[in-house]
Order: sequence, then C-alpha cells, then structure tokens
Amino acid sequence: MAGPLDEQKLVHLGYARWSESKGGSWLSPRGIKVDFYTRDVGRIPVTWILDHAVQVKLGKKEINVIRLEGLMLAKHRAGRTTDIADLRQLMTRRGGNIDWNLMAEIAEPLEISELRKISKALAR
Amino acid sequence: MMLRPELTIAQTIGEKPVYHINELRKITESRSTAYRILSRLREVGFAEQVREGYFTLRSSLFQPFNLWSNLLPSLQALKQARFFGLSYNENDVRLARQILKGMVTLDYRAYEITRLQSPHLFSIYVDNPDEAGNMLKECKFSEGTRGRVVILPRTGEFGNEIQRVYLDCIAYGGRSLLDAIAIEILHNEDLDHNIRGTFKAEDVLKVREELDAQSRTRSHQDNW
Repeated sequence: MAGPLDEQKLVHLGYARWSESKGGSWLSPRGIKVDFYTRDVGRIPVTWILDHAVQVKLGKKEINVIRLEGLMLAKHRAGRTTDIADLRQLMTRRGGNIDWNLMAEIAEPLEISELRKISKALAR
Repeated sequence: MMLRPELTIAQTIGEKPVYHINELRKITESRSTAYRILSRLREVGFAEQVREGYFTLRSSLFQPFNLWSNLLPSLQALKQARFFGLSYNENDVRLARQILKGMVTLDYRAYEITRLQSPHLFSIYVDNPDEAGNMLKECKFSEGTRGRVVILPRTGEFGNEIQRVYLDCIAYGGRSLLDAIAIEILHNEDLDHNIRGTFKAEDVLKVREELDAQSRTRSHQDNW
C-alpha cells in the first residue's frame, strides 16, 4: 500500500487486528495473517515497490509482486537465517537476471558490492 | 567420523549466503588451516563448495557442538541426496509417493506434522537409493539438481520418527529451522529432552505467532 491504512475499511471487510502485533499485522476473514506495509519494506520505499512491481500468474489470477531486485535487497538487509536461505536460493536461480542499474536506485554502494559478490559465486 | 571441536572456529565467521576462503583464512592461523577446516566441514556435510574459492555453510553449523553428533546422520544423508524431476511441479510428488517406499522427511513430513510452511521438496529415505533412482527413471524422471523429489540413503537412527524429522530439519537449516521449532512446540513430549536445537528468540516468536494464527483459522472454520 502506498498510503495510510484504512483500518475502518479493513474492519468492514471482516479483517481483525492481530493483537500480538506492534505493526500492521491483521487477520483476514479466512484467518490468514496479513502484514500491511505503508511506508517501506526493509527501507525500500513502498512507492518504488509499487512502481516497479511485476505481474505473475497464480492459477488463473495475475497478481503484482515485488520485483527481483527489491526482494533480494530486502532479504539481504533482513539478514535472518531464513532470509539468508531465501537469498541464496534467489541468487542461485535468478542471480544472473539482476538489473544492477535498478538495484542502484535502492541499494547503497557497499550493498551492491556485496550482492555482486554473492551473485558471482552462486548464479548458475 | 570424528567431529573435532576445533571445527567450531568456523562458527565465528557468522551467517552469510556465501563465503570466500579468505574469510575463513582470517579466523584461522593460516591458509592451509583454512583449507583443512573447509575440507573437514565438507566431509561432515556442513559446507559445500560452489565455485573456485567460494563455499556455502548450512545454518546447522551454528548449532551447539554437543548437538553435532546427533545431526551427523542427517548431514551425511543430505550430502548424498539425489534430485529427480519429471514435470517439476506438484505432480512429481504425487507420482513419487506412488512409486517409492520409505520414510518421508523434511518439507512434506514437517507439513503433515505442523501445517506451518507449504512444502516444496519431497525428501524420502529409502533402503536402496540406486534401486529407487532406477524406479523413478523407469517412470521417465530425470536426475539433476532442480528436481523436487529427493532420495536420501537411510543412515543413522530411525526409532523415533518425529525426532528424526526434527533433527533433519535442524541439519538442513534455513527455512526448515522454522519447521524444527514448530515440531518442538507441538510435539515436545515426543522428543528426547537431551537432544534439542538452539533457536533464535525472534524465530521462535514468529513460529508461535504463525501457529497461533493457524489455530484461530481452524477454530474459525469450525465455527462456520
């Protein structure tokens, strides 16, 4: 989302605030936990994510998802065990497809250098 | 196989997606020691060379040393894992289930036990990996690196199935650590109290939160 969360609208749609969460976590009407980001994801502005989103097919539906460069940087910045494993997988499968000019729009020079090294080592 | 405590020096390298041998060199006495340690880590199954000078480490390396011997059978089996694919989607798993006899572990078994994470790889312990591989090939499966069906040789203890899946998840590391945490939360009484992994508080909290959301989903569905 690129704007304030309309909590009333969510409640009207049957969402419930996730009581344990400090941030934007809600429970959908079907009981799925949903995180809403309104400003940034791993310091990547939500506006950039939306402007560069790519469409992927999920069954018969097409959905917008964060593009590869944003996802990789978010995982790199998060740095948890699971994120490291995800980044390793992403780099192994898609490390050769990174648009480094686009990456330069959101990443610091040191991060780009680190990601280039990881890509060089892992990309198939 | 001897697990030498000096290998724990590698734990000081920290968790990263990939390492260069020079990073290991910095924490060891010499270049030759770095290569010797890397070679031992590869033998055990903690490390894998990916490109000249570069290697990856399983997150299980960062578990306490006293757990390593319990992880060794899983690590050795994972080192000998063979990957097979046909359509490279869920259909491969359905077909493999019909063809192969053995003990399912990791993603699919963890999902059956915990319902925490959607499974991807279908890993199964078989008595004879060559025979199992040939059975898959007879059904037009190809062996490679991308397949979703993973054959593992039976190594080590299988007396307590939940315990073995738990240790496999810790040994595999990465996202499977979350499965191990969920197993420990949901099946605490089935696990040996002396053989436990060490997990980060944030990961445990995340799993608790997911399991909680899941139980609410179930009660929500029951109420409908």
